[in-house]
Amino acid sequence: MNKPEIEKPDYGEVVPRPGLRISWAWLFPVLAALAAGWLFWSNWKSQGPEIEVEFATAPGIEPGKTNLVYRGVVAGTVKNVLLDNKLQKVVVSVRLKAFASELAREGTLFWIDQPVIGLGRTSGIESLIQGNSLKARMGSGPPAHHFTGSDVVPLSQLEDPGLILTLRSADVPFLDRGSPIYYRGVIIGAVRGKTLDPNRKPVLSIMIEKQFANLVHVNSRFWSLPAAAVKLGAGTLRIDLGGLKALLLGAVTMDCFGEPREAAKENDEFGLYANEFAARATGEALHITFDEGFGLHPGITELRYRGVPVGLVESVTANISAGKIDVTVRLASGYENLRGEGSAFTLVRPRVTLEGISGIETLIAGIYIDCTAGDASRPTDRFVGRNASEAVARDQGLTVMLHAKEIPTIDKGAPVVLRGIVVGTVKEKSFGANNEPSLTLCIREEFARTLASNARFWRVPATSVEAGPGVLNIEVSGIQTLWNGGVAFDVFGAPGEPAKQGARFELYANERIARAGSPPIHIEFPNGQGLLAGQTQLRYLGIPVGLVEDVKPVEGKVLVTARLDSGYDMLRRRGAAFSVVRSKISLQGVSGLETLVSGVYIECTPGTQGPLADRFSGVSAEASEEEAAEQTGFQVVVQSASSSIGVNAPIFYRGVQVGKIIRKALAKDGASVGLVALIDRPYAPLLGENTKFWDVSGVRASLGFLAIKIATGPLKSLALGGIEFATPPKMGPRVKPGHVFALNASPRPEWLRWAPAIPVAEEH
Amino acid sequence: MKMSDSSRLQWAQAMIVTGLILYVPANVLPVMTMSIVGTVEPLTVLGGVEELYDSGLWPMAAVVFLASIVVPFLKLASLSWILLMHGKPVLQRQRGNLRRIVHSIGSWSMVDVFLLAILAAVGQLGALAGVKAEPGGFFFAAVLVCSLLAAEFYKPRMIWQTNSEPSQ
Repeated sequence: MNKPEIEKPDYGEVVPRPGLRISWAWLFPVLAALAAGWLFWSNWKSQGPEIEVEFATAPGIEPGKTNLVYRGVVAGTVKNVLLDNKLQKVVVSVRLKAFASELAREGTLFWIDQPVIGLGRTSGIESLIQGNSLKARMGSGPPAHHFTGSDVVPLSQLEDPGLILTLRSADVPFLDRGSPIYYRGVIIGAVRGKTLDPNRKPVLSIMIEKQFANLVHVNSRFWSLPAAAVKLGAGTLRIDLGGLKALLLGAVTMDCFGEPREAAKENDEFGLYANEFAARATGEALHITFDEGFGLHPGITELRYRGVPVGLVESVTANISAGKIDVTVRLASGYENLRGEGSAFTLVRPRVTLEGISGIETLIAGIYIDCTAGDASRPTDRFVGRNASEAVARDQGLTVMLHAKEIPTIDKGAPVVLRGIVVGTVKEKSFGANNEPSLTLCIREEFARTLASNARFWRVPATSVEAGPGVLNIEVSGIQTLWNGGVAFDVFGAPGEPAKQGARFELYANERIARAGSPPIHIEFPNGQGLLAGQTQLRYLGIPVGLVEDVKPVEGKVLVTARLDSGYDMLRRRGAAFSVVRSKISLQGVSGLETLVSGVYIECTPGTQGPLADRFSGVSAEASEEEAAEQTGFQVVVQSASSSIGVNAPIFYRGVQVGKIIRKALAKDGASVGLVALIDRPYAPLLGENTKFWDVSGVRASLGFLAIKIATGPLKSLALGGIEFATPPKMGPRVKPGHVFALNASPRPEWLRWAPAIPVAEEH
Repeated sequence: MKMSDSSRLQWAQAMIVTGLILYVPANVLPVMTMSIVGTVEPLTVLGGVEELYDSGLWPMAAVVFLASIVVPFLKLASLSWILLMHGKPVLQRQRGNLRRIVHSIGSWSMVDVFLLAILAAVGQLGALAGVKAEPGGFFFAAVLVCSLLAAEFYKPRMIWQTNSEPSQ
C-alpha cells in the first residue's frame, strides 16, 4: 500500500496563555479577603478609645475578661490591670466600645460592682456569678481619658443625683448609707454617707434624685424617721413601722411646712430633726429659766398649751452661776402669740396626792412644759418657768396676795374655798414684802367677781376640834385640805367693790378671827391666865362676838388685843365691861364649867351710849360680878364684935339666899368687925330698921331637957359661915344703903316666927 | 467533573490562597463563646489551648494545638509548597508522598469543627452554661474546607507534569 507518509495529525499547538485565562476560582480568595477585611475593619471600628481608671483596690478585675457595663450593656473590656509605680493604686485600662466612647468624659463615675449582701439592700448579686464587673455612670464634662474610680457603689447608678445636700444633727444614730429619704411616702433620695465635720458633729450627706430636686426648698425640714417607733401615751399605744427598708436602715423624711421658698441649691445645709414635731417647731425660740430640770430632754420634752403640743425643748443648759436651768424652747410656727409678756410656763410632772393624781400621762410620755398665753402685744422671749408640780399656771384669773405672820400647813396647790366651793388655788408660797410669809392665790376667772375688796381670808385648818358644853364639833374640811390645808374667804356683811388684780389681803388664822373684822380693841386685865391669842373668845350673853388677837404683858398687866365681829359696836362704847370667865367650882356652885373644855372666855357687857373707845380695862368674872352686884345691889353693914364669917358668906332670908358678904373689915376704931353685906336689889325691901341679923355659921347644938336640937344653916354656910336675917311683922322704916345692923350670935325664937308679908321686887 | 488541568491548578491555587487568608481570622477571632454560670468567655483557638494548658490539661492542649493549629497550618503550607513546585521536575516523589499524607490527615482535620458543632448543639444548659459558635469557627471550618478542596483539585498526577509537557 502505497500510503503516503502518515502525516502526523496536526492537533495544533496548544499555546498556554498563562495569566490570560483566569479561573472563576480566584473569586474565592477575593471574597475571603473581603470578608476577613470587613471583619477586622468592623472590629477595629467597634473599638472606642482606651481609658484608664484608678482604683484603690480592684478585686476581681481581670484583663481581657472583665467588662465595663453601662446600663447593663457591655460597653468595654478591661485590657490591663496595673499597679502604679508607687504601688498605691490600681490602674485599670479599659478599651471602650465605639458606641460607648461618650463615656470617656470628665465626670463619668466608674466603680467596681461587687456583691453586697446587707440588711437593707442586696446588690450586685449577678457579680457573684459573673465575677465583678466595672460599671460606669455617665458624666457630662469634656472628653477625658483618665479617671479616678469610686470605691463605693453610687446610690443612683443611672444618672447624676439632682442635689447633694448636707444634714447636720446632734446625732444620727442609725441612719447610714442607703437610708431612704421620703417625701410624703415617696423615696426621693438616699443618704450618701455620714461623717464627722471638723467640729466633730455628725454630718449626713444626702442626695436627692434629679427628678425630685425641685421638691427641696430652703425652708424644707428634714427629720429622721426611726426604724420603728413605739409611742406610748395615756390611752394610746402606737407602733410605727416605717416600711421594711426604713426598719432596717432608718429613714429621713422631708417636708416643707408652710409656704415653700426658693429651691435649695447644691450643697445647702439643713438641720436634721429628731422627729416630725421637732421639724415642725420652726418658730421663735423662747428662753425659760427653771429651778431644776429633771426630766427635760432637748428634742423630746414638749411645750403644751392646754394639752396640745405647741413647741419643743431645743436645749437644756445648766447655768451654774445663777443656779438655774436655762431651757430654750422652739415654738411651732403659728404659736408666736405665746411669746407675750406674762406667759407662764410650768413643768408638769406626775403627782400623786390625796387631792388626786395629776400628770399621770407624764409617767409614760415624760414630763412636759405647760404654758399659758400672756399679753401677745408685748413680745418677749425670756421667761421664768415654774416647777409647779401642778399646772396651776393655767388658772388665768385673779391673782391676789395674802400675808400673815406665819402660814403653816398651807402649801402650793391648796384650794381656795368660798362657802365650800373651791374657787381657786394657792399658786405660790414665799416671802413677800417685809419678809412676811405670803401666799399668792389665783382665783379662777369665773369666780373672780366673788372676791370683794373687803373679803377676809382665813386658813382652813386640816381639822378643827371644837368642844363646848354639849358640843363636840370635829370638823374635817375635806381630805384635800387635810393634806395641805386651804384658804377660805368670805365677805362678812355687804360685799364691797370687786378686788383688783394683785390686791393684798391679810390671812387670818381662822374663821373667827376673820369674822372679827372691826378695828381692834385693847383690854387690860390684871391677869391673863388662860387667855390665848387667837382662841379666847369674846362673848356677849354667851354668844361669841369676837376673838382675842393678841395677849401680852404690859407694865404688870395683861394687855389683850381683841377684835369684835362687825355689828357689835355697842360693845365698843365707853363703859363696856369685859371680864374673864374661868371655871369656878365652889360650894356656892359651879360656874363657867364650859370653860374647862373650851377655855376661858371674855364676857362682854355693852357700854352705855358713850362714844366709841378702844381701850378698856377688864376684870375677872368674880370681880365683875361683885362690881355688878355692888352697883345693882343694896349694901348694908352688919357689925359684930368678932366673926368667923368670911367674905362670900351667904345671907339668907327664911333660908333663901338673898345676898352675901362682900367685904369684911375692921371698924375704924378696931372695936368691931364690919361685914359689908350685899343684898340683892329685889330683896332690899325686906330690910327694915328693926331687922335682926344673926349668925348661922357652924352647927349649933342646944342640949335641952328632952332633946338635943341641932340647928344648922344651909350647907353652904357650914364652910363660909352665914348670916340670916328676919324682919318683924311690924317693920320699921326702910333703911338706906350703908345702914349698920348688929349681928347677933343667935336668933331669938320669936325672930324665927316673924313672917311679915313684904312685897319684893320682881327679879329684874 | 471534567476540568482541564490548568483550571484544576488554578482552583487549587485559589483555594489555598483563600485558606491562607481565612486562616488569619480563624485564629484571631473567637471560635466560640462559652458561658458557664454567667461568665461569658469568648475563646479563640489559641486561647482555648492556653486555657487547657493553664488548667493543667497539657496533653489535651497538645492535641488541640496540633489538630487545630499545627495540622491545618501544615496542610496549607504543604499544599502551598506543592503548588508552588508545580511543573518543576524536582522532588516529585516527595511531593507525591506529602500530598498523600496531607490527604489522609485531611479527614481528621475536621474533628475540632465537628466537636464545636456538637458542643454548640449539646452544650445548652439553659442559664447555667451555653456554647455558642462564633464567626471564628466558621472561618476555621472554611480554612479546612479550602485546604480539602485544594487537595482535591490538585490531582496527584499533576505533580508529574512539567511546564514543557503539554497538559491534557
